[in-house]
Amino acid sequence: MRIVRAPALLTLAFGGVLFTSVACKTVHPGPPVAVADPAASATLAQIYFWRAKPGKLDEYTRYVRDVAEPIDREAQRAGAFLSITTYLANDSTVPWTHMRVFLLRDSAQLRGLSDALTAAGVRLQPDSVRRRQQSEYSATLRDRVGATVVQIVRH
Amino acid sequence: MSAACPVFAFSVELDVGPLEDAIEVMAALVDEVLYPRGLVAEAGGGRRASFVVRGEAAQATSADAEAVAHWAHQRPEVLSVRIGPLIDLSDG
Repeated sequence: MRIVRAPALLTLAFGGVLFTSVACKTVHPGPPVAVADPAASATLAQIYFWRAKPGKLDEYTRYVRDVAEPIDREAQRAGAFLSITTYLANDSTVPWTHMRVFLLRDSAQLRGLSDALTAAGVRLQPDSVRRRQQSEYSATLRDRVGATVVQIVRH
Repeated sequence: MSAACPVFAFSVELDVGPLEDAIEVMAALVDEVLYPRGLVAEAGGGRRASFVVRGEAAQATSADAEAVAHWAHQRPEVLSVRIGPLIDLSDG
C-alpha cells in the first residue's frame, strides 16, 4: 500500500525514488528499488483532496487500501497514469486527511483519467449493484475537499 | 419561474517545478488560502493544467482571486500563475 504519512510538509516516494522536503518526519518504508522512476516523465499531476468523516479515518484508510488501490493498479496497468501516491495528513488542522496524487505523462492521460478509473472499477467489479453499494459505502467514509491539476515544469 | 442563482468562480493555472515542490505547493494552496476563505477547487474538464475555484457556501469574489494570485506570487516554487476572470458556473 502506498500511503505516505505527511506532517505539515510532505515526504514522497515514487517508484523507489525518495523525495524528502525540509520538514519531513516520516518516510515511506522500504528499501530503494532499482527501477525507472515513473515520475521522471510526469508533466501533470491530478490531485484529489479528501477528508475522512469524523471517526472514519482508519476505515477510510482501509477502503483506500482494499478498494481504491486495486482499481488504481488496474487502471495504471492499462496505461491510465504513471503513478499514484496517497498522502495521509498527520496535522489535524489541515482540511484534508488524504491527498491522492496521480502523476500523468500528458494531457491525454489527464483527459482520460476519470473514465479510465471508472472502466478499471467495472473490470474489477462487473456487478453494477455491488459497485453502487461500494460507492454508497465510500460516501459514508469521506467528503471531497477539492481537486486540482498542476503543470510540472522541469528546472 | 426564477433564474438559477449564479455560482461565481475563477480559473487558476499554475506551473510549478520540480515535482516535489508541486505536491507541496498544491497542499499549501488548499490549506493556507482556499480552505480558510471557504473556497473549494474543482478540476475542470480535464483538458488543461487548470482548476476552477468557487465558494463552498458563499460566492467566490475578485478578492479571493487576488488572494490566490498574491499567495502564488509569494511562493518561489510557483513559476507562473494565471488567474481567470470571475465567471458564472450556472451560466451554461
